[in-house]
Amino acid sequence: MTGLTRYMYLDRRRLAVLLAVVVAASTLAGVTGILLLGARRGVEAFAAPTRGVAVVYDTSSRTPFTGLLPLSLAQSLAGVEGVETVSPEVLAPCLVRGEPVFLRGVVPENFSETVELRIVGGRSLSGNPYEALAGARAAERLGVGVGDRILAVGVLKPVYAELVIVGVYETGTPLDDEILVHLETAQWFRTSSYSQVTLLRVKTEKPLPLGQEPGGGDGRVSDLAATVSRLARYLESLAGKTGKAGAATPKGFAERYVEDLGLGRETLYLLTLVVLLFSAAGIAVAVDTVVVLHREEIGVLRTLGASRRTVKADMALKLAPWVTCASLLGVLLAVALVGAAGQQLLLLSHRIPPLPDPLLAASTAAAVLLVVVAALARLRLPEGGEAG
Amino acid sequence: MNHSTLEAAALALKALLRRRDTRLALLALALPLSILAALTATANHLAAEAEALAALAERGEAHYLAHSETGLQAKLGPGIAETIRGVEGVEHPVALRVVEAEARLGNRAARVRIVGADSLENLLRLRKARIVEGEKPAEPGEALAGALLAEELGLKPGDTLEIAARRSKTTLRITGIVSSHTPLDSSLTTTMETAEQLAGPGLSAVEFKATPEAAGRVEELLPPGIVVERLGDPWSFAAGAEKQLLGLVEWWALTVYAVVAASSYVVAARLAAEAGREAGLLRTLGAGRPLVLATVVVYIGVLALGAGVLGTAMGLAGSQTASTLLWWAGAGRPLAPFLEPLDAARILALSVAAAAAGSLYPAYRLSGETL
Repeated sequence: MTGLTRYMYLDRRRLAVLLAVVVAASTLAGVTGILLLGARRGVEAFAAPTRGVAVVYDTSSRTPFTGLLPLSLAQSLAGVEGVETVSPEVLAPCLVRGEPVFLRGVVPENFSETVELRIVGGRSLSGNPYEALAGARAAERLGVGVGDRILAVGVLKPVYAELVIVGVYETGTPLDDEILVHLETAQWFRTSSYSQVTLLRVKTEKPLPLGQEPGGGDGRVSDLAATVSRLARYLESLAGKTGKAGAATPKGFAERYVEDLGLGRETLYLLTLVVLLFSAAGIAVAVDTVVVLHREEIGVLRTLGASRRTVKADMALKLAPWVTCASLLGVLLAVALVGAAGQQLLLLSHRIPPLPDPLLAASTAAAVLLVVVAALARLRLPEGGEAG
Repeated sequence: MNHSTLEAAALALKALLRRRDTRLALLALALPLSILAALTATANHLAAEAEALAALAERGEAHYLAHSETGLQAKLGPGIAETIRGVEGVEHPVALRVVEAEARLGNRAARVRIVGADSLENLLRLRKARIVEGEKPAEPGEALAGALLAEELGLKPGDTLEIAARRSKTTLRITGIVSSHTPLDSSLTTTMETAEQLAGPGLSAVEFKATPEAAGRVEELLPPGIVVERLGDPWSFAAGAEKQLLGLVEWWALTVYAVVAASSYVVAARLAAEAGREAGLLRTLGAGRPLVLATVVVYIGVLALGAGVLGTAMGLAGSQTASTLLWWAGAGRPLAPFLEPLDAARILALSVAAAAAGSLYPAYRLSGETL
């Protein structure tokens, strides 16, 4: 605490110049961070992240939706002790009404056991391969509803199919940007045979027992990571029969692809901070302006014997809560802006969610505070007698 | 307002531009604009790359589908198939009629799609279909069963299905089983006559192969309301995905302009704090409030224009440098980011507009100062 703590010489109205820039700069950093982190989370969307569900995928694939695994692997995995459900899925990019969209081919009974899916209109899929369930956001974006017909045009293969929307669903996840169809329907658009799928999602009711290799053993375990580890070992034991199949958590599945692109979590936070630092000059000008606007008050303090260091330290202390609140407000505004943008913010046809990230907010506020303190440190304060 | 007043305002503007803090203010506005310029330039390069690859891919023959804008349920007008057939460069054209019906074999039933084709040979060729059992239909009243449908209903060559469509009923004798790994596998494929008997005359679509040039000629000849879509075209998907990416950049750009506006507010607020006497002097010399306001706003505008030029240059150079360094480090590949003249003009115009908007309130306060 400085000796000047009890003197309230900073006028809140005059602080508006600094706070305006801090809010704007933090909003810019917040939007940047949310878009980058949202894009990364979008990759997780392909794994349809659900609690307690691991992903088995083609480790040689370069993107989340181009891998191919044998469908027979689903049966092998279903026989593993502790595995409750295996959901084989095919991801097929296509065009509907000229808009890019993903078809997800599923076995409805297996899929519904691995995802909490709510039908908000119409009904679920029956056995007809020409039926489709539209995610709520996909339906809104394409302007379709229950009973409508859509012509899905293949982009990886020269196929097309007229599908009837029999229902609309919500999951509260990026799945809501996709269209669910039967497995073979999506296979027409993506694979060259009915014995191939893009990935398998494996649900275990309880965690797989520790030390219990598929086929025998006992013990207790833990968590999804342990399940993944067991599945990975089981897949290795099938090496040669399954191609290059690997297991991961949905986050691990996404990380593998985004790391390949150089978009690790740390890199994204760093990029966000770099963007914020590009606004640092504006913040420095604002700090300078605050000092100019308070030159009389500062001049009085200097006349009364307060050193430059003491005044700067005291100003930094007094500004800290304002700057921090303004920065956090800026990040909240960023969340609101991304939320308001809604369907206009799409990456690979999946909406970027306006998810607030506490680490993003904290690092932005800390970086802004650092810039303010650095700007104060380099400023020349008015001397006593310069006031007025 | 007389000539000397205007001269005084011009001098005031020059004095403002020579202020000590003008350089820092310029930098404060230029830096956020440089990231925007860098991002826009990089996005332009990626888009140009995708277009170049698409142009390469488009040279060969491709598979097309001509259909009504509203889908396969709407019937195409008469003569469409002949129009398409008459275009040079079109190969294996096949007119299609798609009918939905219920098929029954004994006590097993299913909803099916029946595809009637005026040339079964062309359809099977386009779809790369194989008859795995039996033979092609030779007459109306005969059909091929798709492999998946055959498995579902237990069909084999020689079986006779009872077909009930919306308008009529008939029977279809299965002559063979076809496998194509396309929707034909869940359909019954028959002659056009059979399909029209079930659903009345009219076409649902025409499929054909052609070069892009021939497909373009087809599209020109077809009446409005009929589209020609290329099948298996990854670049259309990529173009759509790229449009989504550019949408993200545009939204992000809004926040950059918010920073420019806020920084301009700060610069103008500082002016209001420090240049009160000068503004008062101008008023004394006869300048009205609007002229003083305009002088300040023009100062901010000139600053923003300079910052826009500086920021654009820094952004372009920075993106080139960054991509080169990343490539040397093995983390990327060489890029050639660029800005279209329209992009640069938009950045300049919007940064001036944002700066002017941000400076209005402090400029208004300053214009009220008198000696």
